[in-house]
Formats: sequence, structure tokens, C-alpha cells
Amino acid sequence: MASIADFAAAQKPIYHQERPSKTGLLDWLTTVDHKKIGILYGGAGLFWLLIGGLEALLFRIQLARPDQHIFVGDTFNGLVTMHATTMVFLAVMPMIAGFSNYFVPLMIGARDVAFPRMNAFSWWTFFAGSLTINASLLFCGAFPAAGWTGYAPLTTRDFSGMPIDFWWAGLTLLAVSSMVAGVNFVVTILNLRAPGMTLMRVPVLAWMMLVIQFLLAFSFPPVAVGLILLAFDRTFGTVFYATNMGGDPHLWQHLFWLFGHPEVYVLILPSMGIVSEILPVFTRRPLFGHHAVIFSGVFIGFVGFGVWGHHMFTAGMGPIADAAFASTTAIVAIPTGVKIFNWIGTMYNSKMTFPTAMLFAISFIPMFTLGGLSGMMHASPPLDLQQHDTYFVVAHFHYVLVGGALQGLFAGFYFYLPKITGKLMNETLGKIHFWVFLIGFNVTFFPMHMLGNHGMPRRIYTYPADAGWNTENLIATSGVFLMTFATLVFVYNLLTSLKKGKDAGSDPWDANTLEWMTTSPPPVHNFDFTPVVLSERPLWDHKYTPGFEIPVPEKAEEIHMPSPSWKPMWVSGSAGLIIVGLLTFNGVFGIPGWPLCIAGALGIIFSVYAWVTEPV
Amino acid sequence: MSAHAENLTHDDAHGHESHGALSENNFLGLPNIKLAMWAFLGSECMFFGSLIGTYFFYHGNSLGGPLPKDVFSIGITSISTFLLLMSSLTMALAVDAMKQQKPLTARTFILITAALGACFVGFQVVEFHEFYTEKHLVFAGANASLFGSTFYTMTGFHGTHVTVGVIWLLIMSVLITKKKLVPGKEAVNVEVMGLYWHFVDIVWIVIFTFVYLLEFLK
Amino acid sequence: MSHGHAVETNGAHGGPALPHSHRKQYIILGVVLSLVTFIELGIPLVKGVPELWTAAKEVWAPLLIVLSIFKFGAVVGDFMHLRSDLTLYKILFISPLFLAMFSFFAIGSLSVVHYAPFGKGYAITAQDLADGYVPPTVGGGADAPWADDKFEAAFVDAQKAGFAKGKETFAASCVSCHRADGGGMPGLGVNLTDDCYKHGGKVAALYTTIAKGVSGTAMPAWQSSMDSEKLRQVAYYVHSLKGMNVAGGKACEGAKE
Repeated sequence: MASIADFAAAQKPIYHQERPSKTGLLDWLTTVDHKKIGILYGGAGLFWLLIGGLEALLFRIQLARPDQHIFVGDTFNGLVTMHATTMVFLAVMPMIAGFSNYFVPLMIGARDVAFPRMNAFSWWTFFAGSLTINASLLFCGAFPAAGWTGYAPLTTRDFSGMPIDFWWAGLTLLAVSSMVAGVNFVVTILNLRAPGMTLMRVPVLAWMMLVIQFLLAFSFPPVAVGLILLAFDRTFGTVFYATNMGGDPHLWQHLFWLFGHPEVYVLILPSMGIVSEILPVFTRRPLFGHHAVIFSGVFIGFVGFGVWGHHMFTAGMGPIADAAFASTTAIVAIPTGVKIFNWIGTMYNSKMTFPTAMLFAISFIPMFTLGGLSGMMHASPPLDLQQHDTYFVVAHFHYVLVGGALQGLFAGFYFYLPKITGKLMNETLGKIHFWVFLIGFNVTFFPMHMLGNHGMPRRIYTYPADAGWNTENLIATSGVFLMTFATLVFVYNLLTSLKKGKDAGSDPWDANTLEWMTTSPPPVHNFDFTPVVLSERPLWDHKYTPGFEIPVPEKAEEIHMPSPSWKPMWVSGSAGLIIVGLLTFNGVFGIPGWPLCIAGALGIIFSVYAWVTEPV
Repeated sequence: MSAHAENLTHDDAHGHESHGALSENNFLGLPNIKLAMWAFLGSECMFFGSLIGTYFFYHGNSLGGPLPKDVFSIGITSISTFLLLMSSLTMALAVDAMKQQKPLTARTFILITAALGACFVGFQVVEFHEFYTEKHLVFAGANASLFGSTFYTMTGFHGTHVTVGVIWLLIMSVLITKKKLVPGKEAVNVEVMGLYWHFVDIVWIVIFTFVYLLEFLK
Repeated sequence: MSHGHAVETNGAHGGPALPHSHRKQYIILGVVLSLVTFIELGIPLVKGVPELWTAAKEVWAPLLIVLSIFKFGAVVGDFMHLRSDLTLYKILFISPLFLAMFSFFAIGSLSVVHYAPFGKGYAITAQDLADGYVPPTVGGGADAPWADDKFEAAFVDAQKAGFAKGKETFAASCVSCHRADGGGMPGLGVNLTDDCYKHGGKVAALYTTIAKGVSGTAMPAWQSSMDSEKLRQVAYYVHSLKGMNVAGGKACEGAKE
């Protein structure tokens, strides 16, 4: 029987590289290696996850008892706004980008992404955007406070101050970053697959990443336009959202949700992919209905563009539009149901093992299903009119995003981190993390269903004692402490595993896909030789199916690896200059705006020319 | 094999990662950069869709300021439309010449295309100036109207795309002159540039018909 | 072109046969597209010839759209040669193209004027103010911590002020023809309190009618004597009269909205 030890015998490839990689800090600043960029994304995501969690902890303390006045008014609004903005754009999305960067090229047997420098550009633009949004605390002493949805006209000059400028500026940079990354990864997954890897042999996680990259590339432009219009309104005094000039606030809602709904699928589909990778490994069987899982993911992506109106049932679109959006929304239940049944089918009557990764993957299914079911309730306009802007909705999307997306990502961390660090995480701490998190999460968010049904609206900073919401709020807040404790255990586990963790080896889980055939951590060039893919589970079949061994070539391969480059950072920096110029266009902080814009534009032209003429 | 690798390095000296060894194991055998351009143009469809959609969402909602039929005149716009259409033709001829291994002809057509594009942008500046000073169509500030804001933003972003295209064309002609962009495998770089240019042209076809011409029929 | 050719024969690499040149087709297509553009430009001129214009009134606009679709298709299909290119490229471009067309057609058809006259928040009407409008609060009543929301108050104050000014201007300039309560007068102004409008009942349409007047009637163009702020206030005020159906008003004129 063949084993992965066979691959160690392969000849090391012969390198061609224009300039050698730098070392130390300079290496991290100039790297175009997808693995390093993936680690940067993942690290940033974890950092912002802790910050976003801290913000949630603060405003849950404010809401623990009635009539409290710790964080009131705009302070509370700012915490809520930044909790959501941080969690969606700065925590979950970069963690997904991290997994996508690190594992997609490995899974499809490629040496890097299609455009390594563009990838670095995406990362630096994301980095600039994440700092810009939070910089409002530094420069204005306040957070943006218009809600993460930023509904106009609440975000216009009349009703909000300087922090909103930081909000649109940061989000615009994040939009640019995501669109570029989307195009880059679409090309990578379609074009850089190893020989023999037909689309149906692409691992489910890479498939879901393909779907979300399409969603990113096609759904970010509308919100980018919405943000540009907002920026023009605030900076130059155009009248897009000025209702007294005939402007209509619905425009923002349409543009935002045309992005916003595909965006929630961007958050959930990768976790579905991770679960679809983990379940087969620990049940020791192929994924039940492999193709159905892939096609349902693609279908969810398609339908995601046709359902934005269900966020606007209360906005008065009229009965025809309401009916249309209600039906498209209800259709989403079908592909989601297909996936759930396939996961259950994979586990049914199998000999499972239960490491922490598997526990998170299993608990993903019921928790996500609960969130999905309450989502289906919102597909019905009359019911939605009752639940809109209540804690019921808050409960719904936290079951989907925390019970779904975040649990999936935790599963991914326990499963994939050994590949990145070469060390296994501690299973005992992992199980403490899992159980405390699962209990804490349900204690926090389940009472919110009741609160919503009892009429508690979202985004209020306190409530009277006789409203009947006291007990549930106290329970919810106590759950946040459990979740915080669990997350700290996770971070402690992650950090200690770097030093004390057991050696993982190339293939700790006896897994199915190509990323486990190389060493942990993988070398810069990923694979010593380009694998030939013969089946849906290339590595499993190599190990256990005679006749499907991955051939090891005798000759060393000659490979060209991309060189480190400063240019991506130059271009992001110039784009950032334009944004800062628009931000200070009206002369705030004593910075002249328009010279910065011109300098940024010239900087982009100059650095793009340097980019295209630079040998890679 | 090593000669091949050197070729690849040489190709990459021109900065297009499409031919790097990264794509050697390329399953579909397509040039990365062309695939990326089509995906990017898909994204641009949504971008211009949003801008044109905004214009129509607000069409007829303007409270104050002149209305479309007060400002549009068929003269200057039809000239610039014609110029942009012809630039599409010269761009197609440039791509064809590059595929025929005639870089100098290609460069001539590229420069003509850039000149036509620059004329288009020039006419747009003239048009904006006329609308602002004579027709009092204001983009922003105290006398701004919804029509002014949406119109200038939509056509301005199109003009920005043309400007970016002109800069791109000029860079490309410099690279051809310096022999850093040679026919053969690299013809695809000119082709991809052409795709972008034609896309900017079709956006204008949509804007010209739906924003300008249909207004005259009302 | 010919001189370029001579130089290049040296520079051309040997090797496999060159791909077929499409130069001729491109030039023919360029000529066709120019002709189509001239036809397009001619169509608005038809309006100057009343017989021709009315003869096929329903045809001209669709014809323009069909011609632009042809141009669009020709540029994408032949200049970008998507027609003969790979299916993958077609999918990559055409699916977001249709997505954009679908989404923005939907959004465009959902465009409704929402009434938020003078502040920028809630839609309240003259009737609301007459009834002693109280801003809506979310539970908790007047003692709730959010009852003194400064924006809420600002909305209502701005709207009240705007309504008051619109009503003032209406009383000063419009009542001589449209009657003090907006019910209209025989032979002069139309009834503004029913739901019939001759020139559109949207705020923007009312604004245009007030600003530009109606030629051939007693309705003057008010833009010569009122600034746009004033015109807006009156337009919103008039809009708020819709459906009040005052007693003794004139009968319905124009289309119901």
C-alpha cells in the first residue's frame, strides 16, 4: 500500500527567482507568498475578532440590567455599529480570506495564486481599510454610530459627524480589496488546477471559495457605488440622499442590500465548505452526495443576488415586490436543506471519531439549522413586519453567523492549523473551548428570540424595568462571559500549541485532499512536484485504492517563484492617500485634501508603471 | 527546459504574471490575464449597472435645477460618440496587427486609439463646462440638483475609465517601442487592453441611447 | 499601414502560421456601426416632422433600443470576439451582465417618491399636523429614555416649519385660482385635493408644473418669482393635499393617481 512517505523521496525542485526573498520583518512587508499573506489575514482576523467581542461585551454589560447608564446614546450606538462592522468586515471576512489564501492553492495543487502581487495588494488595502475605520476613535474620540447598515440619511452630514467619514473611507478600501481578491481567486481556482483536477474533483471548500469569490467580485460594486455617492454627499455636497431635493433613502438600501445579502453568503459558504471537508475525514467515508453539495452551494450563490428585498419588507416596496422577494427567499431553503441532509447522510451509521474539529463541525449543523429556520420565518412579509428590528432578528443572524460561520471557522482552525504551524492543538483545551462556547453561545442568543417576541427593539441602549425584558437580558449577558472565556481558552491554546504542541506531521488526520501530501508547514513552493489528480479524494485514493497512486516523477522540476515586491504596498498606499484626501477635503485636521488626492492619483500611475516593468 | 524557464523569466520582465511558471501546470491552458479581465469586466457590469441604475432610479425626481431636456443637445455628444466608436475599431485593428506579429502597426493603431479616447475626454470636459456655465446644471453645493449629481457622477466615472484606458494605451505603446512588449505570447496583453477599451465603449453605447437619445423622444 | 508592414517583416518571428487576420471584417463592421449611429441620431430629428412622428409613434423608442442592442452585441461579439471565444469567457461576462440588468431593472421599477418633505426623516402630512401630530416612539411612552431624541424633534420641527412656509406661499400666490382650501375654481385652477392630476402627482412632477407653468392656461411659470426652496415647499404642500377631498371641490380632471 502506498503512503505519503513516498512523496518524501521526490527530488527538490530547482528554483528560479528574480530576487531572493527578504528576511525578518521586511519579508512580511514585501511577501507575495500566498501562505504568508494567508497568515497575515488570519492573524488580523483573530485580532479583530477579539476587539469586536470586547465591544459586544461592553454593550451587553450596559444592557444587563434595566435603566443603566454606562454607555448611552451615541457611545452605545458606536459600540453596536463597530461590533457589527468589525465582526463582518474585519474578523470573519479576513479569516475566510486567510483560509482561502493559505489553502486554496494547496488544495488545487498550485504553487501560488494567479497574481501574487495583486494578492499582496488586496492584503495591504484591507490593512489600510481596517485601520481607517477604527482611526475615528483616535481622531474624533468617537466611533461611527449609524449602524453597520449605515442607512441614509442617518449617515449624511445633517445627522452624523466626522466618524462616518472614516466609516465610508475604510469600507471603500475594503471593497476595493475584496473585488481585486475576488477576481484573483476566480482565475486561480479556474486556471491553476493541477493536471487531472476537473471541476468536479475540486475539493468542496475550494468550490465554496470559488462561489464566494464570484459573490465578492459581483456584489461589492453596488455598495462601492453607494459609498461613493455617500462620500460625494458628505464631501462635495451632492444631493443623492437629500430627501428635500427629491432624493430617496431607498437608493442606499437597495445598493447596500444588493451587496449585503450576497455578503452573508460570503460569510457562511466557506464554513459550509470546511464542514464538508471535515465530516468525511472523521467519518472515514466520502462526502454523501458530493456533487449535490457543490451544486447547492453554487445555487445558493446565484439565488443570493435575488433576495435583497427581504431586508426591506418594511420599507414599503409594494405587494408585488414583497411577494417576489418572499418567494426567492423561500427558495434558499432548498439548497440549504440539501446540504444539511447530505452532511447527516455522511455521518449516518458511520464509525466517527470526535476530535475538537469534528465537534465544532457537528454542532455547526443544528446551530446553523436553527438560524436558518428563523430566517425562513422572515421570508414571510407579514411575519417580518412584526419581527423587523427586534431582538428576534438579532437572534436569527447570530445563530447563522456565530453558530454557523464562526463555529465553522473554529472547526477550520482546529483542523487546518496543524498544517500551518506543524503543531497539533491541545485536545483537552479544545474540548473545554467547544463545550463552553456552545453553551455560552446558546445562553446568549436563545433568550433573544423571546426578547424579540416580547417586543424589544434592536439598537436601544436601555429599557425600563417594567417592560418585562429583565431576566432574558441578564441571561444573555451572562452567556457573553462564557463565550469570552471560551475564546480566550482558544487563543491560549493556539499560542501555546506553537511551542508545546505535538508534532503534526504531514497528514495528522489521515485526510483526503492534496494539502496534506506536503510537509507541515509547506515549503515556499508548496509541492516538490506537481501532483496528478485522479479522483475526488486524491490523497485517500493514493493511500488506500490500488491503481490510484499519485505518481512521483524521477526528475526534479524547474520552477519559477515570484519575487518579493514593494509595489503592492505602494499602490495601496497611493489609493489610501486619495481616500485620506477625500476625507479631509473640507480642510479638517488642517490637512489639505485636494493635493493629497492628486498626489495619490500620480502615485498610483507611477507605482503601477513600476509594477508592470518590475521583473518578478 | 532551462531555456524555456529563461524565456518565462524574460516574459515576466514585462510585468504580466500571466506567463509565469505559476501557470505552467495550468489546467485550462488559458492566459490568466485574459480570464481575469473577463471576470473584472463582469464586476464592472455591476459597477456601471449601479451608476446607470441610480440615474434611472432618480430620473424625474429632481426638485429644482434644469431637467434633462433643458440641457442635452445632440451635436457635441454625437461627435464624441462617433469618436469613441471609431476608437473601438482602431483598437480591434491594433489587436489584430499584434496577432499578425506587426508591433509597429499595432503601436500606430494604439496611438490613434489613445488620441480618439483623449478627444472623447476633451469633449466631455467641454460638455460639462457648457452644462455648468450655460445650462446651470450643478453637481454639488447650494444649487445642486438631483439630475446634476447623478448625471455628472455617471458620465464622470465613464470619463475616468476612458482616461485610465488612455494612460494604459500610452504605457503599452512605450513598452512596444522599448521592445519590452513583443508579439507572440504577449499579444494577449494588447488583446486584454482591447477588451477593457471595448467595454468602455459599450458602456457609452448604453448611456448614449438610454440617457441621451431616448430623452429627445419624450 | 504599408510602410509599417515593410519594417515588420524583419521583426516578425518565424514559427507557426499566423492566425487569420480579421482586418477586413473589422473595417466593414466599423462602417456598419457608423451607419447605425447615424440612423440613431436621425431618429430624434423625426420629431421635427409631425406626420412621420405620429405615423409610427410607438416604433421610434423601441427602434432606438433595438439598434443600441445591435451595436452592443456587435462590439462584444466581434470586436471583443466573444462570439467565437470560449464558453467560459461567455459565462464570466454574460451572467453578471444579465444580473446587472435584472437587478437594476428591478430597483428602477421600485423607485417611488417617498414623502419626506422638509426634514429628512418621517413622512407626515398636512392632515397629520392638523390632527396634532405626535412623533412615533418605540414603546415606553414619554418617560422612556429615548423619548427626547434630538433628531426626532429636529425632524418634526423642520417639517412643521417647511409646511408652514409652503402653506404661507400657497396662501399668498395660489389661492386666487385654486381656492383657499385647494378645491379649485371653475374655469381657473384645478382641484388639488382629489387624486386626479393633469401633469402628474409626484412631488417632482408638481414641482415642474409649478416652476414652468402650463402654457395655454392661467397657470403661470412661478420660477421667475420664486426660488427653488420656495417652489419645493409649495410642491410638498400641494402634494400633502392629495386625497383630502374638500367639500365643494371641482370635479376630477386628468388622470387618477
